Amino acid sequence: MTAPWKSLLHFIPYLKSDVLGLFGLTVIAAFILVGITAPYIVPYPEDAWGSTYNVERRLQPPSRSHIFGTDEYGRDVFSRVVLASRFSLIIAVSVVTLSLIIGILVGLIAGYWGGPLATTLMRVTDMFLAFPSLLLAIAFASILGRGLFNLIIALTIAWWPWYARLVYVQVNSVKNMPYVEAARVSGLSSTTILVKYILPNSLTPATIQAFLDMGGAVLEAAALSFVGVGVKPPTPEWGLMISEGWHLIGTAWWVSLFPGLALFFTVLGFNLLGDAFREYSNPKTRRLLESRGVKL
Amino acid sequence: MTRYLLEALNVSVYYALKRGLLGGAIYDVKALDDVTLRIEEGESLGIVGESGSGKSTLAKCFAGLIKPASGKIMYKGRDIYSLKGEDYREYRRSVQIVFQNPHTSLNPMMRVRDTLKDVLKASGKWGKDGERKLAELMKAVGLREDILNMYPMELSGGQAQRVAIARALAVEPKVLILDEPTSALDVSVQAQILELLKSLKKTYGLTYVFISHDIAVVRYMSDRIVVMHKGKIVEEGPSSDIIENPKHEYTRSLIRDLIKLYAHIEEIST
Repeated sequence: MTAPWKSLLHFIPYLKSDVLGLFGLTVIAAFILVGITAPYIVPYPEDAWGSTYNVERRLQPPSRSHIFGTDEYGRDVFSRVVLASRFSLIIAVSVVTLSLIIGILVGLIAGYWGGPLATTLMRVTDMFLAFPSLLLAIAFASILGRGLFNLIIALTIAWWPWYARLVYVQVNSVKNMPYVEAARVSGLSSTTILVKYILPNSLTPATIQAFLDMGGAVLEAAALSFVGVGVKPPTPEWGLMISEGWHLIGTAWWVSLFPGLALFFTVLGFNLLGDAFREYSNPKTRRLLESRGVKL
Repeated sequence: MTRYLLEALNVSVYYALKRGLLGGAIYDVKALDDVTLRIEEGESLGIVGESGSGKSTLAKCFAGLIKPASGKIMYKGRDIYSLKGEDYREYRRSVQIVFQNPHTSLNPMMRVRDTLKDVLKASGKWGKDGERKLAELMKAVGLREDILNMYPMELSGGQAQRVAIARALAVEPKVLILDEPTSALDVSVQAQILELLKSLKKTYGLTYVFISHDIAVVRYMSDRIVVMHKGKIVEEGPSSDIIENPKHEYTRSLIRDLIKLYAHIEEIST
């Protein structure tokens, strides 16, 4: 048996016993791989940012030379769908990571020190939680203006309170655990207690939630771009592409459908992987598997 | 200089049942109500009482974990909340506590070695001979040295409690506050831990504050017994007096129950 936090490394071997999770991992691994290599593998990399405008090949249905067809500006939909994967992944990972970091800091400070500072911090958190997160993200995105960086900031503003809440609740219960009291009696410094005793024991729920939220982040980013407050055109981004092809859905269905499918599979992959991680983090599941002789 | 090592003088503690909008307590429950208790160096004081009688709260007050709402906790005749610098560190090292549930009193994320090492470092006792000190501690509490490399969840209740005792001993304390140290353990393991505690007291010349709801265990461990009920001390005296000649109605009922229990056990076994 190893350290509880080191057991994160055993998540991949665990997936052997979780078919859906393994499927999720495969999908996400494929998207990451495609995202990284995108500019080198797509047939029309110059179409990504739409610098070329080809009237003669606009709105062509899927064919051998354009397997996902072309859009209104004659750009290869396949190339753009593939190139967009990196933006979706960058957005999802940045938003969730940034939100988690802010959430941990706020939750830890409020939970550990308590008093009026905690009350203030958590009331602010509650204020953010009172709005539907998508609405809040749209509001901030419209204030900040379009662009990848602004989109990440807007989504982070809407997301961090969820993690702050989770960490706060956990810190509050951990700080009264006998091992923390014992550490105080042993004369350990506040910093040591905070870093070695409280922090590592308070992270599990928020980490699981972060895993589960990856798919949601991809979806909300697409939603923001869809309603026109996300990334700037002609950035290849799934939400933006769906919105650009929306009015053509009756005649040129391929323009919206393929980015939609890419979005669907990414979100599905993240959700399945997140579910598997939640299952894996449940001590009961692990004990059950260990009793069945699955080596973790 | 007083002859008392640790004193609680007119100590009262309230717990808030409900908090207001800005965190102020609205309703209070009295956990300790004007309690005065003096502990002499080298003695074994037993505190007995049912759950909710305030005995654990008193233990935490002595350990500096709960600040009393009124009254004072004194160490060697000085208020512990007025101690500064080296004086405070001396108090901190001198008074150690062992909790009821050994598994929740050890950080689940740390190996036994790291838990003990941090404690030794914090009290400035970690040096070149650190490893030897760890080995000595394990020997003192009767554990194999390979336990050092384990995580708390890999230990049995008895082993974990021995580790908790080793952590308390690591800082070379004068007083051990034992807050129901055997209540969460199997009966056979309980006896072993009690024996260990008795021998440690002799070896290191420790002062014990032994807290339990079990008057038989308290009798076995202590020279002097204090009976607590609803946040107050209702009876105090040498162990034999309390057991043989209880004055307070509550103490009598405790002993009556114990006699009934033993009679029942005898009935079953014959």
